[in-house]
Amino acid sequence: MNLTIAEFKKIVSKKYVWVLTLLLVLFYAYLILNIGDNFSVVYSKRALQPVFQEIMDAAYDPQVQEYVIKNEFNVTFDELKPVISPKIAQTIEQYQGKIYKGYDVPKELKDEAALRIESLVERNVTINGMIKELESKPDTPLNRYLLQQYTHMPKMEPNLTRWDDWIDINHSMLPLLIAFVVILGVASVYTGEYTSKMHGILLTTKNGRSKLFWSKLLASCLFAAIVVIIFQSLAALLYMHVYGLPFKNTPMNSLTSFYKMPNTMWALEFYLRQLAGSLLGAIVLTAVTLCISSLCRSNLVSFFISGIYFGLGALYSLSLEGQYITSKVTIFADVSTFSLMSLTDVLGNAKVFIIGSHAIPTIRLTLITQAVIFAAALLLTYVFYNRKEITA
Amino acid sequence: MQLRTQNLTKNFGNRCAVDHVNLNFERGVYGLLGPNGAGKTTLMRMMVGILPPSSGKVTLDGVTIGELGAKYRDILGYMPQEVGYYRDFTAKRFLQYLSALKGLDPKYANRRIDELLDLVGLADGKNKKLGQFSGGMIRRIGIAQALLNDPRILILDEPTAGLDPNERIHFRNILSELSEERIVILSTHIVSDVQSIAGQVILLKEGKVVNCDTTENLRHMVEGKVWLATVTHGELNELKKRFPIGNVLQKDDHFEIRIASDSKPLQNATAVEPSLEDVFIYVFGGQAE
Ligand SMILES: Nc1ncnc2c1ncn2[C@@H]1O[C@H](COP(=O)(O)OP(=O)(O)OP(=O)(O)O)[C@@H](O)[C@H]1O
Ligand SMILES: [Mg+2]
Repeated sequence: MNLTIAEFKKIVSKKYVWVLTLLLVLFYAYLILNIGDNFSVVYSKRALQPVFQEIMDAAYDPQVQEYVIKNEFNVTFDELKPVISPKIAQTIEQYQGKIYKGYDVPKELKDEAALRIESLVERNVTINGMIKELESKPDTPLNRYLLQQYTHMPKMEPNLTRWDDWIDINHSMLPLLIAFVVILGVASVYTGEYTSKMHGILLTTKNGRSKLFWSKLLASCLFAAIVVIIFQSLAALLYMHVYGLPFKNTPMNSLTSFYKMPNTMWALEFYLRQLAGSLLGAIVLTAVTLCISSLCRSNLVSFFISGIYFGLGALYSLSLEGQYITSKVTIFADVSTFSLMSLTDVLGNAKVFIIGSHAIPTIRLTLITQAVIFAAALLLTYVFYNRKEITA
Repeated sequence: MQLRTQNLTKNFGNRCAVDHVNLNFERGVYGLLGPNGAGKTTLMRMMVGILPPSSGKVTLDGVTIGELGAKYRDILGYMPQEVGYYRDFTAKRFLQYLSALKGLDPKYANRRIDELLDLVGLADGKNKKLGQFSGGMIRRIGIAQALLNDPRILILDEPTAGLDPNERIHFRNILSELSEERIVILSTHIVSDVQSIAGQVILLKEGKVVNCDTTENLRHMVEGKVWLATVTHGELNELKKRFPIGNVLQKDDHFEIRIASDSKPLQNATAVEPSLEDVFIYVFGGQAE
């Protein structure tokens, strides 16, 4: 019998783990599908797809920009019509009220298009303004960083690709669900041995100390990885069903929630990093939960303390407003395991931490902190498990 | 092979559970005899390396067991007083799991498991979940798991507690069949467990070793100090206050009792050949089972 497999079976043979996981899966599916039923959320995004390119071109036209700014971002499509190229206007009018790739293109396409053009112009103006402002500001590490980022910003694109929905997958709900299931499965890995009184026997066997420790770690990480895969695939399938696949890569900066952030990354790259963060975070959480488990005497206590460890970081991180500076206070949220699992705040907002004359991307601190926590958790687990006096 | 405890001591707060115990084990069966709370379990836990001593050490051929680490555990078999188990494991799977922990080759392990389940009389229940086992069956599984790696040092904490008389005899036979080339230490407060099989008996009282000798010599120790007397109910109550009394046998309205006393306790008392049980009563001053 392979020890790692045996340990893995111990984790997954607990019925409550699977029952609760199933309930959470259903709950999550219900939640996402319900948003999808609220069709207007999806509607406006799909509706503009046929004129995607035209809107973008219009927004980059200096003449259009000037007109929109002059009218304080409050113009109708008909007012814009003389300024934009006839070809753009023609295309937009051509699709209005028709069926395109299976969607009803609404009658209000014109108004929608005008709104989009305005918002894109606004973004361009905002960022150009920021660059100008930064150039005249004193040369601090933060200003240098922001100037560097904003001048290297990819070209704006209309936000039609569904990436803003996909980026949102890992914002809050999914990391919480994954963490819950991981903690549920792993919290009893050591306490289970204590409560079943196996601890004494295990510690007197040849492989019951270090080899068993590694087997338990490996089995728990395997469990965590499977949980991450299950929930990420489920989320991807649901989002595919509700919003459709993102059809084109787009700069993060074109997405509504990030458009003022000094982020030069592209959405696909960010999403893939979120997946990696989800896995790494789950593994750090596994190590921390193992450590707590090795220290506690009951499954429930171990579960709650692990939950508090993750929950505090999550709560704090989610309470932060979108900002790109990590302060001495918010750093605790930014380097938390939750932040690694979500990445939305830390990496999406391209946060930096200012130390002396350096602006350090906060994500580096998050990764370093989590690596240290991981190593420390392993070390402590080993010590606690082996040193725990058997007196009961 | 020489297993030694040197000034082995364990304090819980200011309570001394094991007090400067010096023992020497060479091959053979040792019975660790003492009443509840004498420190048997605490001593054994330190000897198997799962409870750090407050002071003193346990050595095997001069090397502390901590230094030996896995090498020591490889030749160790241990059955705790309260045998741990997983409720949803079958007997066979449980033993397979422990074989893996003991680093046994799976093929050999499977053969050994069948052998041991047979030995402890659980061959029929090997595919039954341990959660459905009775207390006595769990103890037998506990004995089987300790024997899996054919240990040269076997430490059993009250292995016969909860076994029915047949199983108890069966267990004694198992122990005496084990080859000579090993150290077997078993704790008990049941005299008859050690009487027949233990070459050496260690008497433990309040954490201290009172005596460590062969059954024969221990009996000699109390020779002339054990008395048989027939008394009335009133006399019995009176005597109980003054002497350790063992083996009360009611005969009509009289009681035949054994009294442990340095001098003749009663006019009609007659000195008798002491048994190991009398030693227990003499040393621990209470009723033996
Ligand atoms: N964890 C502990 N904390 C405090 N005191 C303890 C602890 N474990 C044991 N003791 C005390 O140490 C003494 C020896 O206990 P131990 O369990 O070793 O006795 P024992 O001889 O095995 O008894 P029994 O026959 O009941 O199993 C007892 O007085 C007990 O109360
Ligand atoms: Mg005991």
